[in-house]
Amino acid sequence: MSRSIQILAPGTHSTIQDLGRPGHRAQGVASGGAVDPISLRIANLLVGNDEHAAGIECALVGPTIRFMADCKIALCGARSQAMPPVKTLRVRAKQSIAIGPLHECAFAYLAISGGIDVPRVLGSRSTDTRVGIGGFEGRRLVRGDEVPLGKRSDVGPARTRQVDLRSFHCFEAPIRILDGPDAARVSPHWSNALFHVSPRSDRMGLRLDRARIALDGKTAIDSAIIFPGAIQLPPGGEPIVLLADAQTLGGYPQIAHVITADLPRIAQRRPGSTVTFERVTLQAAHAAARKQDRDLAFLRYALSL
Amino acid sequence: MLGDSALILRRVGPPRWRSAADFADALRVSAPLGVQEIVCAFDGVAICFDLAIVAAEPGRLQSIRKWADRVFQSAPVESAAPTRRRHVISIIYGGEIGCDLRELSRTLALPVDEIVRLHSSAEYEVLAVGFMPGFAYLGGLPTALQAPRRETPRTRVSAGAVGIGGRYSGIYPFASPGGWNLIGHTDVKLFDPSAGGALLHVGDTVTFSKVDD
Repeated sequence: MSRSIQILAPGTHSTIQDLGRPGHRAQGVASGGAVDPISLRIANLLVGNDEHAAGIECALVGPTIRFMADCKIALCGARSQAMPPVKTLRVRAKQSIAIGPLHECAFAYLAISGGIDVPRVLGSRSTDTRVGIGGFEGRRLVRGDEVPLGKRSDVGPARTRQVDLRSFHCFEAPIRILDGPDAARVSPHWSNALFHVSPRSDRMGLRLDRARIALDGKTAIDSAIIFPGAIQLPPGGEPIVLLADAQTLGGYPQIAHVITADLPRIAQRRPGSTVTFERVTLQAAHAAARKQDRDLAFLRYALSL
Repeated sequence: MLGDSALILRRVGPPRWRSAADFADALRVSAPLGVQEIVCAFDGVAICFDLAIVAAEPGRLQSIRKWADRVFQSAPVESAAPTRRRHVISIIYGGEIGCDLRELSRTLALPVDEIVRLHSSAEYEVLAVGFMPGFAYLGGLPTALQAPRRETPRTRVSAGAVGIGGRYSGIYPFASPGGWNLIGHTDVKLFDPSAGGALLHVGDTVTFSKVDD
């Protein structure tokens, strides 16, 4: 029998995601992929997958899944009562797990040994629900879906592991930013305000509210090239941090950019939680990216022992 | 810079380059290690990095900057001008999908026939692709046809709808919300992931050929 999983209950918004499809922005295709790629990569490492393998991104409430084959699984990012965090688990064929409500973070990543094996679209298995491509039929998972798994890549001995992720997800620390092309149009003190994550946030953008930023000049500008991490200021003055599925062109001023190393951290903030910012230098942003790569390399090595 | 992993270059078209698209193509053919992707839209070009490479090597960012500057300064040779694709897109004006044609006729104070004649006789250049995969911003819209977007965007515009938004004409590749004034539709597939993605690329030229319903 081919390896697969069945979705018994879909959860709030469960989608198949890998590390995205960079390289097609010139065609208007978002890079997409996990909004917290670090958690997905670590979940994959824990089950012996390639870090690029596709897993299930769960938002707020996770799905209930029946495994149709023996698998190793791991959940990273948000916590669930149903599974120990950041730990390899073994499940038997026909066993089911209800991930249920998620805690601490907005998104959890479920990796399954062998990875999810849906066809690649433009080089990636990520679901882009706005366009309806990738993942399982281009949409979020629904009850009754039977999702194929890849061949098991873990041939090693049966071991389960738990790792400490504090170096990747320190939620108290401010989110580090760089000034954007339109930074001169706002007071530099905007970043001292305390923002809250709006419940209207999604995979395209994390919306911040309860603090407004005043802008000099027009609110709409000519559409310009934009990337995930950009902080856009629409009319109304409540900023939006663009995430993985954001459009490739934006028509609002870009006042700042979240540094790449901190993007998973801000993407994981739950609606209602607070966000503070700290302006850093480009050198500091690159140093943070290097540190994150080193921490991941260390983890990769530790898990290979 | 645009964040920590992209370099943005603005106003890189005339006079040195015929268009930003030509400059972007010149960058693409000589991109060094660490450059992941080059995006061109309107008069800007973004050079996106593979941050794992650029952050790891102290001199890499500086050498990418120097390379971009060198390419910009190198005057393009006439014979090396890239051959751009030309598209003729069949369009049915009006109808259920092109439902704003009459209203636009009032706004612009032009008869419907004249809107159709002007729109189908212009030659357009793709200035940007974005908003959604394969959505091309077509420059070259006759001034007489330029009209602001609708005040309240529609919650659903059909795939293939052809519209006018400000200075541009455009075609919706997918059904989506949208605020452009809709004047017709086409059956041409504008985005097909199995055929490599978008039909229209920045720098391509487009003309519309009127088909009767």
